Amino acid sequence: MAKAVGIDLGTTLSEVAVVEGGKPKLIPSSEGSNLFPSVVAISKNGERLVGQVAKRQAIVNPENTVYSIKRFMGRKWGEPRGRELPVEEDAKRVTYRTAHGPNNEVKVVMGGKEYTPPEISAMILQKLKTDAEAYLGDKVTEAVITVPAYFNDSQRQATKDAGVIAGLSVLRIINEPTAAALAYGADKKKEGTIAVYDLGGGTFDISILEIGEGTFQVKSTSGNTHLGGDDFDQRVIEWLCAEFKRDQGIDLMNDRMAMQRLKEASERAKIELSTVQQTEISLPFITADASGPKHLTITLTRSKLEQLVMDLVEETLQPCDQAMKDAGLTSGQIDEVLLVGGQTRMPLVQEKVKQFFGKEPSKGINPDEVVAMGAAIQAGVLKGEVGEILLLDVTPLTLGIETLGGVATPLISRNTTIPTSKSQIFSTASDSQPSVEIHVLQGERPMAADNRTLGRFILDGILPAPRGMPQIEVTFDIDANGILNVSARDKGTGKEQKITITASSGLSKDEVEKMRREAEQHASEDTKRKEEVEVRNTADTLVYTAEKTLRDQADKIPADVKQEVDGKVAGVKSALQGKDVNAIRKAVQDLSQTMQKVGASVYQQPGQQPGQPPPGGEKPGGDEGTVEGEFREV
Amino acid sequence: MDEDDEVVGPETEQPEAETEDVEELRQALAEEQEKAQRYLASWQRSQADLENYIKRTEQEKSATVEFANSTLLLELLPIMDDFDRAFASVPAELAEQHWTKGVGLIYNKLKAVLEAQGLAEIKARGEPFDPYLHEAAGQVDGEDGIVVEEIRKGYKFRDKLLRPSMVMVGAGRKNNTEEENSEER
Repeated sequence: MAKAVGIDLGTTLSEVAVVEGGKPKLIPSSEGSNLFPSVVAISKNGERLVGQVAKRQAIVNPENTVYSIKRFMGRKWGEPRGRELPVEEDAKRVTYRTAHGPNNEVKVVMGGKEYTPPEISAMILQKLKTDAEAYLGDKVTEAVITVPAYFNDSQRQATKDAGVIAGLSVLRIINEPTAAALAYGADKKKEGTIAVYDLGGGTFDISILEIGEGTFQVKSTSGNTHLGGDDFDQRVIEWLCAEFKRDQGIDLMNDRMAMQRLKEASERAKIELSTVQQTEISLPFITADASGPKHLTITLTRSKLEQLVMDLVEETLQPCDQAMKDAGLTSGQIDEVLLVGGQTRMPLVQEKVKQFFGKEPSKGINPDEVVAMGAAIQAGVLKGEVGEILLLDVTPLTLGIETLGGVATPLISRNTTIPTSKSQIFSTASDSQPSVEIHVLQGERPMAADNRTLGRFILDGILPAPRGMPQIEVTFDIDANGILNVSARDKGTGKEQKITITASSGLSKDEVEKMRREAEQHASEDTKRKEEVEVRNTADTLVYTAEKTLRDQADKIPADVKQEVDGKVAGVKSALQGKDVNAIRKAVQDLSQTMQKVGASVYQQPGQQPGQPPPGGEKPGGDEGTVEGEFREV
Repeated sequence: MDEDDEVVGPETEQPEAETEDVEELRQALAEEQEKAQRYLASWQRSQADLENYIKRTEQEKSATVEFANSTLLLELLPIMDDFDRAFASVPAELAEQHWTKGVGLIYNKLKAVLEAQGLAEIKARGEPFDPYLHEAAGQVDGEDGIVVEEIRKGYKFRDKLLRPSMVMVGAGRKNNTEEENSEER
């Protein structure tokens, strides 16, 4: 089934996302990166290059490498000044040539040919489309594309044209802040006012949105089309250069190689300082003079970085103020603040935004991806994929049954998406056990007694058999409404019993949380208790095995060995009476060692058939997946 | 009670009630059919989503296994660069010392280990500039379109580009260095 994608067609970077299973997911480029530069070029031998490859050759082919085409989309020479710089101004800032079209529209020149901005954007879209198709293994023919909220009709039309040229049917053009709000699920709210603060690599936008009954209205927008994360990097680079010059007396500004390394190190340091308080910038052999090689090692602290960029961050607040005024709102009237753009990861930015709006901004979705995600959700909604997606629940707590020694054995672990079902085979704990009790439990604790009992029932009519022989298949089945059906079936006789529990999810959020917390608090003591039970279970099994072996192989076991085993069995039994776990462990170890003598003497008997099953209570169903856990006798 | 009421109702009304009933039932049936169709469609879609997801997860898993080390390698490359730079500027009086040579051997050993994992240097100097392998840092005097100088080595990992070589490209014989560095990048 062909998918509709969401595309964030950005000034410097573009991204594409798709909704799958009701959730948006970013599609990586064919180069394996999520970053897709919005750059197109015609190489000297006439080859068309798009994305990363085009960017790599930009500096040697500046006249035929087109970037920031978004700044020219749908614009005309001499048009009245809007939010952006005048076209003439933007044209001066690029290295490629621009031209006048018949209707005074902007055209760009690449490889000696004139192109309209939509044609250039189409090349980017086409590459995104191809990569998405390769990733999804399916044709991509429909898309939702985002544009800045301040784009006028002609800019929107140009974006739509670009989609059509790229062979995409454009389902809708939506605003970038609206897409961000959609990604945060704002459409599910009845009404409210949202501020979207978008600080990307090269542009800053603030938008105030109003939601009413699932529709979005842009109340106001403001921003700065030439302010972004790159300016932050530049501040760090300049500071590093100044520090180095002060220390070593060498100016790195003219050393291209050194500058390249400084640029990478600066961006890296800036990113690191979003999570740590200080970072070491270490660039050995950054340059050399007559006295030998020079190294750059500087510690940059978060507070120093904040000092370096403080004015840039504050520069974003003036447009915020403007947008609020234009919307006729005060900060108290904003219900939610969303952060978009990688630079909003910086704690200082978040702090300033919080101060300005008097509200903690929402985080949680990758700010680099949130616009493409929202576009994908819109595409999904328009294609009826999102609306029809069933919202599936999860089991809030683990479900299981009680097994030998009061252990809670889980069948369905918490956070499993429902509906689901799971079967496991259990057996009896003693010889000729006529029935088993199925005690259905809910909770995270390892011992049955600490968990909540959901119900219990008895499966009887089990034919007399040695312990571990009967196979009881226990099945847990939860439907989409959280109704749990537990059945137990004796695989030998086919006899079955079942119970339906409707209250399995009848717990309030607080109750679930309380049970989870308790499990965490008691984790270590619970583990100890479970271990103790396990030791006891092992001891019990070993005693059973030893006694059975003595019985079954009576004629082959020398009297002295038999006597020794009897003694050790008595030892384990008496240890089991007590509470000392280590004493039980020790007794079990002794008995196991003695049992090896039994094995030895049985195998030494002449006439022993090779390949006969080893003595002892081997679980007959072992090779059929019988589980160690056994029911206690009822 | 309701049923009784209907039975004792006037006989003449019965056909009319029946047609109404039939009409109602027809409508209900149509609604249910439409619902069933919708559910089937979502079911198919979910199933298709799941199958595609599984297929892609398989692909991604094998790619992840194959390129699991590339993140680590990428982190190690700057250290390789540092070694390269260090050896490129060994002071003459130290060059012949055994200690210096020893460090060189350590570097070679590191390189050999990484190469055994699938790391390979990209040829740059003297080659025609290729944006699929090289990243241009600038233009200098030299043969047009040919890599004149390698500023930083590039590497491939199992035939996939890991990091492009950073190079200076020849701009023809004449001195014509265009350094219009755009502020966009």
